[in-house]
Amino acid sequence: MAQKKILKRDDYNTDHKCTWCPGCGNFAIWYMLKQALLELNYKPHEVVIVYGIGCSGNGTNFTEVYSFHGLHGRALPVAQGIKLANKKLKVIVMGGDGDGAGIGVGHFIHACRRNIDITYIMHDNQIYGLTTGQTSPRSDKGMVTKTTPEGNIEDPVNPIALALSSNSTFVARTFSGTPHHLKDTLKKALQHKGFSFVDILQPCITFNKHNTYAWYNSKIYYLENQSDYNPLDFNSALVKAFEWGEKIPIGVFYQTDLPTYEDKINIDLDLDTKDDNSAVNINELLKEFKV
Amino acid sequence: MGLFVSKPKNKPNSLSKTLVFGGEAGEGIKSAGKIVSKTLLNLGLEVFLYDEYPSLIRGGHNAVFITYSEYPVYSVNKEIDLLVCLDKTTFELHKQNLGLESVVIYDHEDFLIYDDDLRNLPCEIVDIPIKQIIKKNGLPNIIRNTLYVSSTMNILGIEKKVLEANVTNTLSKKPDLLEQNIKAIGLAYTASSEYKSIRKIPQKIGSSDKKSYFMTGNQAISIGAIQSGIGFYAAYPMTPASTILDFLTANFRKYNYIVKQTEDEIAAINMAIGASYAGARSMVGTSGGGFSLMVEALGLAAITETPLVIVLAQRPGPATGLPTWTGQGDLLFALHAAQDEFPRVVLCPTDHEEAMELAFKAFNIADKFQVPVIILSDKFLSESQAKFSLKKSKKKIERGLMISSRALMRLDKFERYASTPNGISPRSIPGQEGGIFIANSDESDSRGFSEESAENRIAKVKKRFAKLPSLKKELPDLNVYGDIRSKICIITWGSTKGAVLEATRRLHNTGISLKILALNYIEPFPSEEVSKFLSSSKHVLLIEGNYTSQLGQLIKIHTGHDIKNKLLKYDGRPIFPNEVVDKVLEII
Repeated sequence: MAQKKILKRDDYNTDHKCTWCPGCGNFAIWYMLKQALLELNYKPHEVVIVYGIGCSGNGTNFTEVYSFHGLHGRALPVAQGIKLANKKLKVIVMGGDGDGAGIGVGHFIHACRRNIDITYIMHDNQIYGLTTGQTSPRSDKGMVTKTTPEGNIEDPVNPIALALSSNSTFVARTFSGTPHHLKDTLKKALQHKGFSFVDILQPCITFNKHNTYAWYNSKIYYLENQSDYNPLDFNSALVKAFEWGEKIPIGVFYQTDLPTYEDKINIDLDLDTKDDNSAVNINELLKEFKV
Repeated sequence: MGLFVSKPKNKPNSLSKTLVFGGEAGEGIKSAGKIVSKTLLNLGLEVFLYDEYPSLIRGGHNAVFITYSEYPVYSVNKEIDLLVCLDKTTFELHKQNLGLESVVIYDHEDFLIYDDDLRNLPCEIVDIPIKQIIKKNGLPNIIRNTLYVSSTMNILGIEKKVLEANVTNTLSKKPDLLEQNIKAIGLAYTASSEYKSIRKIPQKIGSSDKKSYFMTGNQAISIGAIQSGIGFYAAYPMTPASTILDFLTANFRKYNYIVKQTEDEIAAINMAIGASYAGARSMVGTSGGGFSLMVEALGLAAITETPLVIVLAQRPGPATGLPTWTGQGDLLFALHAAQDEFPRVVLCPTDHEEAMELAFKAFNIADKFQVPVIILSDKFLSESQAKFSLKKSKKKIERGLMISSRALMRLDKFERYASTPNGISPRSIPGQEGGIFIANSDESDSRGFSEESAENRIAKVKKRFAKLPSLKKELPDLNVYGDIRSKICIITWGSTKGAVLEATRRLHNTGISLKILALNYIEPFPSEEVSKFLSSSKHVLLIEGNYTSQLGQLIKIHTGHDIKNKLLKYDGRPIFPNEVVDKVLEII
């Protein structure tokens, strides 16, 4: 293997073909994540992506980095374990809105408040796609799905507000239909030291006939273009988090710089892969129990 | 592997004594137990301590059982030789276990004892005016337990200065408290002077120069894990596993590992799997309820072939069950948890020393075979304290097949899940160049890519199970105790061994010998060894802490032996030696 190979986007590709529906928002996310990693010069073997279960999770097979395709809703704990064990790794979590706002919402809250330096990307298509079109905890009120034939009667989870109130140190939203904004946002998230959360609005062209590209395009606007918006101000972020309807803000809602969990515990594990090491000396420990 | 005969360490004619301290939760029963056991240990006696307490912080009944002898003790007795009652409930709950020579210590100002209460047993009733002593000397009420402890020590013929030295040692950092305690010791010794030495403790015969230790099963498990180079421990507090979390947390800086208290048990096991995937030796600890939440991820560790150690400290269920009591009802659950089939190891240490030993070994097995290893304990083993010494042995940390970065550079393409004759394939860890792979919860091919073909599925299932023959060789030795020629045999598993060994000693006194097989692992099941053991016996007795004889079911499946004689207990209390004795006498 050449030592000073120039990194190419292809280096992040496996020889497996994508299986997503043509037009799926996942393509843009996948492509732009690779582009962001390339521009930030992360070598594939330095990166771990942990996936949940859902259409996004099938991306495991197409992306050439160390990967962990975990259980539905449980990608965040796996990723935190990886990062705590080896701080040098770039750890990214990919999961859908069912994964992170439904079955795994508890882990989401606790991951936010720990501020472990990982990036969590929520593929937010507001529908259960892989199981062919049931309601999601992100489905808008009134939305008709297989399991809400009379229209969704529950209020959706608000992942931005949830991340903010759980003290995530980086909270952003982007849209798969605005690829450059998507890439820039991912780059900011990857460069943030601490827990970064990116909610990606992503049309499911097969099962979500409500939140379409056109629907989003008519509503989204960029926080970056709001001259009076300051992403360092938590209170304005909280106000913006609840803006959903005629207007939908995308961009960095909030960012703050705080010490990470791993900085605070400050433990570097010995991941020695050599076999046959002597057992750890426990004499000191045994003293307390000596009769 | 194999059956080994263990020579009995004890002289058969010795009998142990049991002292019970009882009172309301919050009255210092645990600390009374600590000081009494420490004093007895210092005098060279063998001690076994077991706590009973409700799931409450204050109020409710607490009791500490201390069984002692000049010979090794393996369990606590049900018969009480000395009952110390800090309240009436203690007397009411335990009086039926008093015997001919028993002593009851109480204060008549707390309650009154009538002849009827004692079923006309000629017990010695020791009435110490504890309340009066407190009032007269202006002592705080928390000193009560010291007054009871001191009176008890006097009855046992333990000199005042021995207790004083012990208390001074314990309270050296709290001078005010120490002064009060020393004063209380003096007062209690005076008040109980007429009962001095009425139940003198046995004089220790001979001296042991072996280093011995006194600790709980959970402490032993934790120390074994540290010795094995644990890198990551994750848990959600749950009795009776919480003290592993506490102990490991107290020592993480010194031994450089990470402890994470998580939001729930699902997070705990998934984090531990993540840390293990990244190369750290990882463990989780819980009880049945938490293990129920971990079940799906147990399968995740199995299909991704990520090494993992799981401590399952049993308590009676289902659901919340009896949170602070003991039982062995999770055996089949541990064996079958998670969907579909995969190889796993279930170890069940039979005593404290073995708990340390097997915790160490569990990590080696997990790493070498890339399988989940469950250490099945229970409240009785996890929270009781026993004295034991450690065999000198050179222990090695064996990480199994972990591929070096240099070897990876030489490879054209690394196949993490390459098929091999023994099913074990070398693993890389993230960060290693050339070692990229997918740990996939989907069935996958040799590099971890999702693959649903029938051929691949068959190959992968076979690959995982191909580990079994070599894995079996790594399992701990099975010990046969007692008289190998005996035609009466007892088969049991895990912590129940202690009561059986005590019973063996008692039966030996009546001329009955037993041979005992106490399984210290259940999966993969030692069919041959169990079959051989059972075939040579006329009377077979199965003993375990559940209703449906779960080990009995396994024995029937694996060996065809259908054991008719059973001692099954599922009341939350440990199996006591006298119950074993009675059952043996019933079947022969």
